[in-house]
Amino acid sequence: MNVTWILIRREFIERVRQKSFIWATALGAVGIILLALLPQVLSSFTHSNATRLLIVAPDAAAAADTLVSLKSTGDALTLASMHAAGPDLPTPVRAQMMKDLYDAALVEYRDDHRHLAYAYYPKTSSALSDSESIHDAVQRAALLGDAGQQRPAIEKSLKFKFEVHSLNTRYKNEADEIFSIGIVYFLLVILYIAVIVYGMQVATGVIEEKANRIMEIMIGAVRPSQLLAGKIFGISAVALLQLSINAVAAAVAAVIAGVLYGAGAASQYSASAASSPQAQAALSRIISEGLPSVPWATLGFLLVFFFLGFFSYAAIYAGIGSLLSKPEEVQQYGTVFMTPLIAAYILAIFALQQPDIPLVKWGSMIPLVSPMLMFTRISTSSVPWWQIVISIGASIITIWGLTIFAGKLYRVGVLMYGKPPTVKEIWRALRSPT
Amino acid sequence: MLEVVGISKSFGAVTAVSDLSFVVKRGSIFGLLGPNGAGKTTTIRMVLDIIEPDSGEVRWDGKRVDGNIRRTFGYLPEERGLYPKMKVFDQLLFLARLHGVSDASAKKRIDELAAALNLTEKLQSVPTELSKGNQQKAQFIAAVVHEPPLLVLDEPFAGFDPINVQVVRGAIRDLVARGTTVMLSSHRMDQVEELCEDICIIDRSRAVLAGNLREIKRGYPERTITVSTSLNDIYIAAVKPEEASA
Repeated sequence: MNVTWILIRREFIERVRQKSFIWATALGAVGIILLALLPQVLSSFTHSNATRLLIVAPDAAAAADTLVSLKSTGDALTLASMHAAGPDLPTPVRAQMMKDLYDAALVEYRDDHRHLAYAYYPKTSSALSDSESIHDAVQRAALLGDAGQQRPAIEKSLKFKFEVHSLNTRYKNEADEIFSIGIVYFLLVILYIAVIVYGMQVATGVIEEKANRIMEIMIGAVRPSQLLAGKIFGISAVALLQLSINAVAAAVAAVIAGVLYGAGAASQYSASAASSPQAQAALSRIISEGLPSVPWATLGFLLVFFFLGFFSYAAIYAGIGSLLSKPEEVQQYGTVFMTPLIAAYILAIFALQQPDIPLVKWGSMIPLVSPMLMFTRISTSSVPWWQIVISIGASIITIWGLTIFAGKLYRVGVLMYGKPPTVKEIWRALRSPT
Repeated sequence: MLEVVGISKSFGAVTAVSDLSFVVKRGSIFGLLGPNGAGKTTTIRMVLDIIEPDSGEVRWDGKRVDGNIRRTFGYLPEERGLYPKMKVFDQLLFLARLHGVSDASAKKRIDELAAALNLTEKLQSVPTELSKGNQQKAQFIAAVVHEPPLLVLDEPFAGFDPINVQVVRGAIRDLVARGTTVMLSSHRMDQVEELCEDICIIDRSRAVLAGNLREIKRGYPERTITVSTSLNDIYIAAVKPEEASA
């Protein structure tokens, strides 16, 4: 059996067997499910999401137009039979609103020039933030209300066609774009968390092995770089297992949410969608063009760049662990080496808008920042294949080099118990073979 | 046969080992003695190719010791260590695998050694549940589980009670009877005297006395008529007292 493989296997099995791992993973999964369901559970305590809107109209015709126009907002509409003469809120309506029967009132009236006008009285904060969409929605009613004899012509004109034919080479539609950006954020967050949590475990694992002297026996049988590779890849396997379990928990949460709340939410959505011509058009567009197809290549790259990123930083943490003798010290040095990761994170968010500028382009081929940047570019633009090859190749060489480098530091660190090695000693070790 | 030929090692301005040579005959037990800080552990680490000598070389059966030869050696370090939360049996199997032993022969060997050292019942425990003596025994098995041709023991008796010292001594003798060559360092002169055929005493990085123990003893005047000179007396005579305490 290959020595590195034996080390990886031990690292993985022993960590996964620990009670602390089992508990942390189980509680983490339960936590994810509860957190995912929390908004749904909270919303079930409130009466309804829809704003209860009371409409006061000047006459039956105007009222009908306004009702039709407002349907797209998805609000629960009630028509009051008052004939409004001005923008003021009628006293009985004000009384009803004080009793919390409605969230907002819309007063429709004719101004001095007999033109339709509106006064909006929102009470809840969500009704207040709806002001703009109410304004947009009643435009149709205002136009028809003032149309007079032109009404049939205007009605016909309003049923104009509006189609989106995406010329964007990356995205067929909005859903595609949302997916691409979402998956970039997913990588950024997961990689960031993984480096912080599991990278730290690599460093402390190396230190513990030195502290309990087991490496005194092993360093004879295995090379330090093999020892560290075992740590890095063993802990990576643990990370992958734990993250996969979390992903399954998230999927379970989605299914539970779907069963408990999905049916209601879906029917509500389709009811409001069906009533709005734009939404109907969007729905039919998505149906005709197909839901965003799962881009397997992108998902493949997600895995590739996650591992390249994680291994690079894990190798750095292994090097840090090789030189230190106390786990507490890792934090201080770790922060320094997090800088490229944080820089890559910020650049990647910038790259979502500007994937083709030179800074992002060249950054996506420089190890340590490249995994985040190259994945962002791949997900949001078309990247020449040779740049992807350079990016992946450079990362692999860096991981290999960093592991060898960390192994040499280990040799220095192991034999210098208690006292941190000097720069001269490190330099000498780096130049030595093995 | 292990040949140590003129090895030297300095750490900065400090000379740890200076031009040290000795030979360990195949199938014998060799004692490396000396006060704390004399250079014993550095010598052992050079023999095991953990650190490289600045000059000189170490040979096993005429070949310079490299990673491949070193991998066959067994080593019980002075600083004992096991994974605190991993079952003893699993660690022993793991270490045997690292030395390239097949699972089947490793398991058989672990059982044999555990029986010889009265450790069978503790194999499924984790080290934190074991007494210090039992941890040391587990460590001893770890050093010999792959049947090394050369076994290097750094202070093998430290931490054992008299009964367990006997048990371990018996185990060392068994190994030698099966052809293992043993090199050990110890401060326990009585144990060295009982076990070792040849010795080398180093002091302040240099060999001050080396050779066959019986011959060395013959060269020293007997202290009384009834009690022969003990190695302890020879050791104290060889190592200046003020330096021994340093």
